Amino acid sequence: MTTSTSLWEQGSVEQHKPRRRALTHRQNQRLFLFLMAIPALAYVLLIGVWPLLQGVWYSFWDYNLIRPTRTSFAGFDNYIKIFTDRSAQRAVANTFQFTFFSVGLQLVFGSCLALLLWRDSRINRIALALVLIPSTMTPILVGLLFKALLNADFGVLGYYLREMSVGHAGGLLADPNTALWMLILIDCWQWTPMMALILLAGLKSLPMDILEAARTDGADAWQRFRMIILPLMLPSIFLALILRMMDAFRVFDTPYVTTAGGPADSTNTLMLMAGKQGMQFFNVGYASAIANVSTIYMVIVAGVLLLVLRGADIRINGR
Amino acid sequence: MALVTRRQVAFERLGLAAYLVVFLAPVAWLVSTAYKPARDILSSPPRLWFQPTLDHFVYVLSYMDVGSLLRSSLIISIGSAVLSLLLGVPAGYALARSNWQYAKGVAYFFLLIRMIPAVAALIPFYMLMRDIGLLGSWWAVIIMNTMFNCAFVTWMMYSYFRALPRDLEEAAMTDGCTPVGAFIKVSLPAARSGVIASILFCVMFSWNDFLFASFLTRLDSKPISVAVLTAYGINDVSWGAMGALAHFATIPIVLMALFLNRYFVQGATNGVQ
Amino acid sequence: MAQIVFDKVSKVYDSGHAAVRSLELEIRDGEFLVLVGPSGCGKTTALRMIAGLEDVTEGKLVINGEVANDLSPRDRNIAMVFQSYALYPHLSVRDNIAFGLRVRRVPGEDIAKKVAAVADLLELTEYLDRKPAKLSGGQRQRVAMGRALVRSPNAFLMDEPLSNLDARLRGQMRSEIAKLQRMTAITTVYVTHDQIEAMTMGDRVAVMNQGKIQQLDTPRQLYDKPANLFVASFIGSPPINFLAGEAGALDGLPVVRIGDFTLPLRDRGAALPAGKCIVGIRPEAFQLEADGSAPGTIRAVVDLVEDLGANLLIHMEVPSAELVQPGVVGHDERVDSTKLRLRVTVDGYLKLSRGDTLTLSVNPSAVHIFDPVTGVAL
Repeated sequence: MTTSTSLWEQGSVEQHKPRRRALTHRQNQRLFLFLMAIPALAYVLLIGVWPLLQGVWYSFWDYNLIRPTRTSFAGFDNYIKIFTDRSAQRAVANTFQFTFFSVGLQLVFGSCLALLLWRDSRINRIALALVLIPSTMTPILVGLLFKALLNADFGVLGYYLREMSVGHAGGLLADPNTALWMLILIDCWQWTPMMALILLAGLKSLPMDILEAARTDGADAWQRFRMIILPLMLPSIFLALILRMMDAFRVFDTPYVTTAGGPADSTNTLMLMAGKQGMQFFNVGYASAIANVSTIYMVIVAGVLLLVLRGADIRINGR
Repeated sequence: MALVTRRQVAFERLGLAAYLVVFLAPVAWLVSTAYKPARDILSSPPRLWFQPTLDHFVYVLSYMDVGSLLRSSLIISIGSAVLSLLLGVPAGYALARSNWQYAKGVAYFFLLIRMIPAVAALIPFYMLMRDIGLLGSWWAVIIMNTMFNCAFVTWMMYSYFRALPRDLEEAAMTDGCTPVGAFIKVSLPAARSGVIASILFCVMFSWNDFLFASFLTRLDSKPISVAVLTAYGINDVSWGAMGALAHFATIPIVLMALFLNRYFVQGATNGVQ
Repeated sequence: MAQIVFDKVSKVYDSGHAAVRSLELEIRDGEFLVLVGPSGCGKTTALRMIAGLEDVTEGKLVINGEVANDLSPRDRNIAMVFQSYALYPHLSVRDNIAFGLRVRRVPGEDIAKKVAAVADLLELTEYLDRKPAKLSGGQRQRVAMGRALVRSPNAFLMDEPLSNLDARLRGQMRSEIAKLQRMTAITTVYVTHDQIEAMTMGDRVAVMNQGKIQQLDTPRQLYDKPANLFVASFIGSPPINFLAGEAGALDGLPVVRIGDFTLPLRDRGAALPAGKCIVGIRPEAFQLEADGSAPGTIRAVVDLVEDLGANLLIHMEVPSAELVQPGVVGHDERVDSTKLRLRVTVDGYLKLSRGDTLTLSVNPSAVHIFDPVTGVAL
C-alpha cells in the first residue's frame, strides 16, 4: 500500500503572503491594546473626572443657580462653613458613624453567613440565591419598606417595639437617638448578603489541600479558622471592606427616603447634605465643596485601611 | 470538606434558616402588602391575616402608566449595559494583556471610580445636559450610568482576562488570526461568563438607580425605580400601591439574579481576586 | 506503629462511581507498602480513606485493631504528605513543620528541639525562616516530609510526593525516603503511578486497577510472576510483549506455538489447558542466537533501533506471528497487528540496523502464559 506523500510537500497548503507592514508585530500589538482601552478611559475621564474637577472649581465660588449672575469668588469659605456649621459637623459625624458601624456589622454577619454557606450543596446554593434578594432590590424600595415596618402605628416591627416600650412613641425612626442606628441596621439588612457573597468567593478560593493538611495535622475547626483561614483570607477581606466602605460613604437613596436627614439632623449625612444643597437649594458652590470633602474623607479612610491591612497582611503572610 | 458530622449539618441548616427568615421576611411582607386591603395595611395593631384583594394592582395599572415605566427602565438598563460592555470589555482585555507597568494601576483606577460621589458628578452633569438639551431624555441617564458601569465592567473583565492563559490567543495568532480576530474568536468566548456577569451587574445597577434617574428625566421618561417613590406619595401614603408597583420593579431583577445566579456568584468571585 | 486493615472496604460516590470496590488489604506494622496503578484506579481514594479525608461507604477500616471508620483525621494520629505538598504559604518552614505539634499544644521547648532535629535530618536548617514561596520544588518536598516526620505518627501516608520533581531529583529523593522509612520503622503507605518507584521502594506492592487489587506481592514476585495481563503490562519498562499463541505439547514437553514458531515452556507441574492463549515475554528476556534455524527460537526483522546508551531497544517485525495488545481484562481490544512491533532489549555495543534478521531465544521460565479471556496467568 503506497501512501501519497504529496500531503506533506511544501506549498501544498496555501500560505499567507507576508505583507510589508509599517509597524513591527510588537508595535502593532501595543497599538491594538492602546486603542482598545482608550474609549473607556476617555469616556470615564470625560464624563466622570471632568465634572469632578469642575465641581472642585465651583466649590471655590459662591455660585447659586437661582441667581447665577451674582456669583462671587469665595475662596475656602464653603469649606470653612462645613467645619464650623453645626449642621455640617453633625453630618460629618453621622457619616463616619454610619459607615463604620454598617460595614463592621456587615462584616461580622456576612462572615457567619459565608461560613454557613461554604460547603457546596444544593440547599446551600439555593439558600445563597434566595438570601441575595435584598441586595437586588432598589434601595428606595428597601427604605420605604422599613419605613412601613418600623411605623409605630401599623408596622409589624414598630408596633410591637412600641408595645415593649422600646424607643419613642413615634417609632424608632422618629427618635433622634435611634434613627441613625435604624438606618445602619437597614443598610446592613440590604448589603450583608452581598458582603457574604464576596467573602464566600474568597473562602472558596482557598486551596483545599492546605485545609486537609491542617486537619490531618490535628487542627480542630477553631484552630483551622484562626491559624489558616483567617490569615489567608485577609486580602479578600480587605478588598471587600474597602469596596463596601466606599459604597456606605456614598449612600443616598435609602436615608433620603426614610428620614431625609431628620429628625433634627440626626441622620443627616454628607451625601444628603450635598444633595439638598445642590438639588433643592441649587447652591452649587457649597454642594460641590461638601462633595469634595466627602471624596477626600473617602480617600483618607481607604488609604488608612489599605495601609493597616497591608501591614497586617505582610506580617502574617509575608507578602 | 469530605467528612462533616450530621450534627454540623444540622447546625448549619439551623443557622441558614435563621438568616433566611431575617432576610426574606421583610420581602414577604412587602409582597403581601400589595394584596392587603388598605384598611388592613393601616390597622393598628397590625393585622397579619387578611382577605386578599387585587385592588392595588388595578389602581396602579390604571393610574400609572406601568408599561411606560417598565419601558423606560428597560431602555435605560439595556442601553447602559450595551454601552458599558462596548467600552469596558475591550478596555479590560487591553489592560489584562498589556505589559505596561502601570496597567494594573489603571485597572485599579477604574475600580476606584466608585469613589466619585454620585452627587458630585450629578450637579455639573445636570448642567451639561441642560446646556446640550439632553436633559429629560433617557440618554442623559444612560450616559451617566454608563460612566460608573463601564468602569466596573473594565475592572471585572480585567480580572477575568487575566485568569485566561495567553496561550489561547498566541495559538490563534500562530494559526493566522489578527490580534483583533484572536480577541473576538478566542478570548471573548472563553470569558463568556465574565461578560454575562458584567451584564447582570450593569442592568442591576441601572434598574435600581434612583438618583440619576430622578434628576435627569422628565415625566414621560421616568423609570420604575423613581415611580416607586411617587406611588408612595400619591393619595396620602398608599402602601398598597407601593407594594403593587414594587412587584413590577423588583421581580424582573430578582428573577434575573436567580436564574443567572451562577454568574452573579462568579462575578463577585472574580471581582475580588 | 500501626497495622492497617481494609476489610471489604468500598467507596462509592454520590454519582454512582465506585472508586474502590470491596478492597481487602492488610498492611503490616512497620512495612513500606506501595499502592500503584494508573490514574483512576482507586489508590489515592484508598489512601485518603486511611487518612480520614474520605469516608468509607461499606466495610471496615481497622487501624491498630480498632475500627476507624468514624474517627476524624485528627484523632487518627496519621501524617500525610500531599502531592502538592500543601505547605501553609503564610508560615515559615519552621512554623510549617511545627504546626502539628503546636496544634496539639506541645510545650515550646520540645517543639524547638524536635523541629531542629528534623530540620537537621532533612538538611533544612538554613531555610527554617523562609516562606514556602521562596523555596525550590525539592526543598518544599522536604518540608512536607519534615512536617510529617516531626509528629512521630502511627503511619505515614504519601500521595505521589515525587511526581512534581524533575527526574534527577526524583531519583535522589526515592532513596532518601526509603532510607528514612527504614530508619524510623513507621508504617508507610505510598501511592504512585510510577512503577519504577513502586519496584524500588516497596516492601510489598499492591497493583490496583479500577478499584480492585490486581496483585499484592513483593516487587520481585510481581516482575517474575505477574498474576494477570494487567500486572504484566503495568510492571516493567519497556513494557512486556504480548503475542497470540496456542498451548500444547511436543514430545511430551509443554510448548507454545506462536505463528510458525514453537517455544518450550517451563514445567508448571500441572498440565496447561491446551488451546489459545496469550504469551507474554519481556523485552529483556530475549537472547540473540547465531544459529538461525535452531528449534525453539523466533526469527524477526529489525524495524527500528533506539539507542539508549547502555542498551539498544529494537522494535522488530515478526512475520507469521501475531502480536496483540490486549486491553484491560474484559475488553477484547485488539490493535491492528501490522502496527505492533516486538520490543527487544540487547546490549548497547551491538551494531544493528533496519532490515537485519535476528534469531531470538527465550528462557522457558521467562515465558508467561495468560488465559485469553480472563487474562489470568496460567
